Amino acid sequence: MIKLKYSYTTRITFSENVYRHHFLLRCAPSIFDFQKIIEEKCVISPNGTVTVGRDSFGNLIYNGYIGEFHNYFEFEATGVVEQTYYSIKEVLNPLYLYPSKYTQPMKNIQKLLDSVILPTEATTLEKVVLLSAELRKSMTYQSGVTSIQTTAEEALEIGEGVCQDFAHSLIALCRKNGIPARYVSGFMQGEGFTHAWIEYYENGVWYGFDPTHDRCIETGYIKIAHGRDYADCALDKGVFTGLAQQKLEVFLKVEEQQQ
Amino acid sequence: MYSLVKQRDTVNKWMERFGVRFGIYKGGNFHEQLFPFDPIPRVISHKDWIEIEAGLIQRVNALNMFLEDIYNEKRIVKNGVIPEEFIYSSSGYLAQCEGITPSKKIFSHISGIDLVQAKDGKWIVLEDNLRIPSGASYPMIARTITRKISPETFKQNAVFDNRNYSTMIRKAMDYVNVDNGLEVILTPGRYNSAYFEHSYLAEKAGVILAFADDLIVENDTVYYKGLFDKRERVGVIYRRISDEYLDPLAFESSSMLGVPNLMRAYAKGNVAIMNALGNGIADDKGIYYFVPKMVEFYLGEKAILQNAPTYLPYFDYDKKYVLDNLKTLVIKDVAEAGGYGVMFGREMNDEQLADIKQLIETEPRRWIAQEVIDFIDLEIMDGEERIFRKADLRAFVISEAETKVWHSGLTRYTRSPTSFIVNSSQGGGFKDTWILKK
Repeated sequence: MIKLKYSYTTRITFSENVYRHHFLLRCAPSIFDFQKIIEEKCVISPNGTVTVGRDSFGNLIYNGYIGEFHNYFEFEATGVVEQTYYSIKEVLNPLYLYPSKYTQPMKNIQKLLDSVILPTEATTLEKVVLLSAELRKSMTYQSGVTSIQTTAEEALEIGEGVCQDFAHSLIALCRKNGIPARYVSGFMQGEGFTHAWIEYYENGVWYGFDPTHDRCIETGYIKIAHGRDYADCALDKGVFTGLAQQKLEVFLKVEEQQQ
Repeated sequence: MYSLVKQRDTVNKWMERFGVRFGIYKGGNFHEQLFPFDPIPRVISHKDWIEIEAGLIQRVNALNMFLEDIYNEKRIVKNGVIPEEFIYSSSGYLAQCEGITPSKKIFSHISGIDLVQAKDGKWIVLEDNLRIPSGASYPMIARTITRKISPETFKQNAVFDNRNYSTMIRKAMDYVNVDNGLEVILTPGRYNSAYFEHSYLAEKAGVILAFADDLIVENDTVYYKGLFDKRERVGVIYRRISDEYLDPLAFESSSMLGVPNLMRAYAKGNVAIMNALGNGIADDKGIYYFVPKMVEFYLGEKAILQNAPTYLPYFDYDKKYVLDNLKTLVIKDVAEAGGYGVMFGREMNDEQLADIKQLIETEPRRWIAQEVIDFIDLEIMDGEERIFRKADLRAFVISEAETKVWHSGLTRYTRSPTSFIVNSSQGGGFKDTWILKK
């Protein structure tokens, strides 16, 4: 069992004043079998109205509205979670067996599927490992090439991508092989950016797998949101009125708290 | 009725003055066109109507129960009536709506059911439209005008009045209204094909015509911003914007037409939205096949109204039949609407037939095939001459405390003598629909 302390801050600076600003944030972890929330707080500024709820996937949502003129927007999510081995016992929702917006399989996915033969006696984990290895032959990690709009198929066309693209591609491969798979947004231990990985389903349990680092997840990954793909798990979304350039800064730090 | 026929041009001129038109996009350009009115009404006998009405009420009740079931327990899937693939791989299924129960448990408040009458007199359902069925305003205004221009016609014929449609809509809005809030029709604006209808219905129903900018969500509650930014709580939104554009934070981020965080207010039950979000799963062309089975499953009754004979290539036995009989069937792409993606086997050459065969083999779930219904021709006036054209009927069913059918409907006819497709976006015109009182 480990305790992880996280601090996740996003700051958007606007070049001009904006108003009528609506936002929807998935910035705080939820409770899962392997993850307990010891502390959780989210401070949003400037001052607006904020409500808390859950989406249909059960993810925690902070949504709100700032009506007045403002030239920055900031949220600071902090807390402590306690984790055991990454696994979630759950009844399967068949939704995770079917293609979704970002994971539609077309010729590139098909090509990968054709090039890997999964032994029938292999366990689900072994299959996921084989698929991930195959994926890495066709995609290398490179930031700045793809965007949040890029689908698995498009990323494979380019052959480069970030965690989101690796996750979408592996999800598409899993689902096509009859393995239920879903997208997860969250934080990894260390400093840097938010991360995305996948969960695959085997015998009533969801397990974590990180295709970007090509490894099974044991602990150290703070789970924020899950869904069919990125579209269900975006960490922050907003719309506002005003003609302004935006500068986005993200500070994320996750460290193990000594018992 | 003769006097009415004589005055066709007058009626059309009045409609032009009232701005009765619809917009279409072609080649990236927007233009508006008039919707030609034909003066000879479609007349439906009282006896026929009794059966159609009972059939429509039964069908829409089953569809509403289906929607409630799909976004909650999914009994119909668990019981093996509908394969899960037809739900989860449908673009109409919105996972974001799981577990949301709309006000008064009604999903489809206004249903537009498209029917045709076969040559043997039987009425057959071709399509269910449970998202934003449009078109009721055309027969409404046509009736208003024809009554003025030719009042004697309606003295001599016992026809149900159809100008009560707006009252029916209003009652449906009143029924689901949350906390007695304001009632609004939300329009995407004047570049929408049915903008005339939005403004006309708002005026006739006595509710506010709102643009996305007029609505604001704060504290998971929807407000209408009136004069001097005075805010008023909104209790029900009759939206004319499709699901994917309704809330940029929940769906299509690039949407400028939507109301941010509307989905949050809706999920918390603080506002009623009609029709509900996620209804697309019930009017998916693939799901259509299962509607008579829904009637049996949810109501324990035999369906009164029949579907056109339909085949799903998804099932192997149907696929074989479809591939063997392509030439006599009509093939529809389940993802398309508005008369697009409809192909008649008899109009295709060998190469096209081979292509479609290939597509059916690779993506069986994407297609349905139907027997071509030989439906009746209706008389229309072409200059001074009477000619015959194919026509369908969109019946409007309103669900509130009870389910009611509007005693009229939109009868659309094809422009070209060989066409079977009557959608207004494909050209063609409309007629008034008379339901006889006895």
